[in-house]
Amino acid sequence: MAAPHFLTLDRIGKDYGAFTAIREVSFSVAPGEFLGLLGPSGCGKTTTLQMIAGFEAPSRGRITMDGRDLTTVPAAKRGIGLVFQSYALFPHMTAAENVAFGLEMRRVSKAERIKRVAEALDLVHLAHLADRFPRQMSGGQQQRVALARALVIEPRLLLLDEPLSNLDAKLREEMQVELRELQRRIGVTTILVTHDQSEAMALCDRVAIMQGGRIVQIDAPWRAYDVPADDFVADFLGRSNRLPACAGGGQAEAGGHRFALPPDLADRQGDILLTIRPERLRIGNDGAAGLGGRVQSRLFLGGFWLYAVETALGSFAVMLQNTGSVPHDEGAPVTLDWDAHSLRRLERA
Amino acid sequence: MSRNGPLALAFHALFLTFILAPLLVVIGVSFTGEGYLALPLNGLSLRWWRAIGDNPRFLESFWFSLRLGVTAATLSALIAVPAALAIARWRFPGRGALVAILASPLMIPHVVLGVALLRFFSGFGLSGSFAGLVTAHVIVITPYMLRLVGAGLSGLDPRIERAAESLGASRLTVFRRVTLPLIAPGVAGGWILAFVTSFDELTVSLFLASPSANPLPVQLFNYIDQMTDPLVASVSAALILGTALVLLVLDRFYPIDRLLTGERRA
Repeated sequence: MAAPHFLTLDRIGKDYGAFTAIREVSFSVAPGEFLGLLGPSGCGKTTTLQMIAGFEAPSRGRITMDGRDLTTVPAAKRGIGLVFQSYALFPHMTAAENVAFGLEMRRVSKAERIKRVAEALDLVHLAHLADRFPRQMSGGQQQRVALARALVIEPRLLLLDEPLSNLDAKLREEMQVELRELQRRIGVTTILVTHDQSEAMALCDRVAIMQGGRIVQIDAPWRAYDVPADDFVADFLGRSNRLPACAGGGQAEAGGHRFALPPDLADRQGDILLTIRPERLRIGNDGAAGLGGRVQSRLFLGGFWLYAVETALGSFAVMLQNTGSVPHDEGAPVTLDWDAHSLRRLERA
Repeated sequence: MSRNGPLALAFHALFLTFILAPLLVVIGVSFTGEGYLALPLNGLSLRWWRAIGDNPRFLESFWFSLRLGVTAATLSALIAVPAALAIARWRFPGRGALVAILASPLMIPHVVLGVALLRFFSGFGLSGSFAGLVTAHVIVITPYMLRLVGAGLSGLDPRIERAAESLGASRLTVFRRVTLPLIAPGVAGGWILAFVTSFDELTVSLFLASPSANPLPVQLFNYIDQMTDPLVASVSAALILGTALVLLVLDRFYPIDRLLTGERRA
């Protein structure tokens, strides 16, 4: 019977002298899950990854994989596949030799090795470049070799450290789709470290948002996006608008506009800080019910219009789907409107 | 590559002239037929080139210097590679002291070093022996070795070694299969520089040499001290031409400018 939790970090901490890189981090990963460690640089996500890989020893706490304590297991014996942002391919070996390295270390017979290397390169669509050296390949191709090299050993856990950050936008998007598909097909438990929230949201089953050496929120990406735990998460996962209001009797008032509060906030009284996502706002023509303002700027993004609307409460970002209707002009007086269930109250940190 | 301006061209021309002119003079003088150092030449002669063969002590000293240089450079590599790895990869107590000790021979005048080693080695009976000279040369050349191996290491992403480790390689295997092949150009460059420095070393060797352990520079120096005939010119010219030939052959297999900067093949 498979354990419900494949990998568990139990109150892990890491100090470097007087500096505490990781205060306390605990989480569990289910078998086959794709988890994202997300946060700005210096939040401790890479240190956490290094401890799972076995290159840093935790100062406190315990890491277990498959019920086994990893504390005394050296990196070479953990059976973890690693992919770095810098690819970290062996520059003096061809693509095939790079992929074969892990199999050689496992004393896999030569015939078997050749077969599995070919399969792994096929998996990442690079069979035709087996004899190229890393310097003869593009960044995207090198990243695929790195992925094949990590997967060929049939790792129990795959760790990806900012794997797509060095690729250009279009290639990154392609690789995201491919990575997601590959991970599903192989079913390998995967942890992705990234500072790119859109990448984490696109790829992961769950994201753990880290700040200052601890996890602020761990949740499915859409849940963390819709119900952020605090100010930091709300800002880090996409954009949000702040709406300071005065609540009373299930309603609230801001900038002369009265509006309904969602049921969970209906009993609030007094000052309250609300947030709302740009795509949850609607723009109405002047005179309609809503918060009055003026179009400050508009950007056409193809599928979307991104407006900035100046109001008495500050500037609001509004994202409207391009439905083919005539856009609002810059400088035009407009009103902002929304549904009560789109409002969130911000926890003050 | 950017083109040189007129000022840079003039500078390079002067630089090359001052470097090459003395060598050309020495080579020219070696073909004199006279019994003294003469330029311009009155006709070409191989008299002093043949004289090299009649003076076996120069040949003996040449082979001695060759053995000395190869031994010292190799020993120095065996010290510098682990030292450079430790310095580059780990923060340990005494790291600063290790760097300072290994680099200190660069800052101590060779005369001082020579006197000190003579006094020190006498106590062990090492003075005037091959072993004594090897030890002294290792001390003198290791800073160079360390610099070039260190330069090779600094260009090596530690994540490459970590990748190898995560694939199941032991520390020793990582070193043998990944680290060493990647720093090999730096080690080779360091070895050549160390060898050349040893082969050329005079000041320290003067204090430690003996008739049975007499490196070529000391032999030449002592010879000039007693007489000034064109034999020193022909011996020097032979060394210059020999070195140039070795470098030319080496450059065909391994571009020297890259070796000396510790760069990997691009």
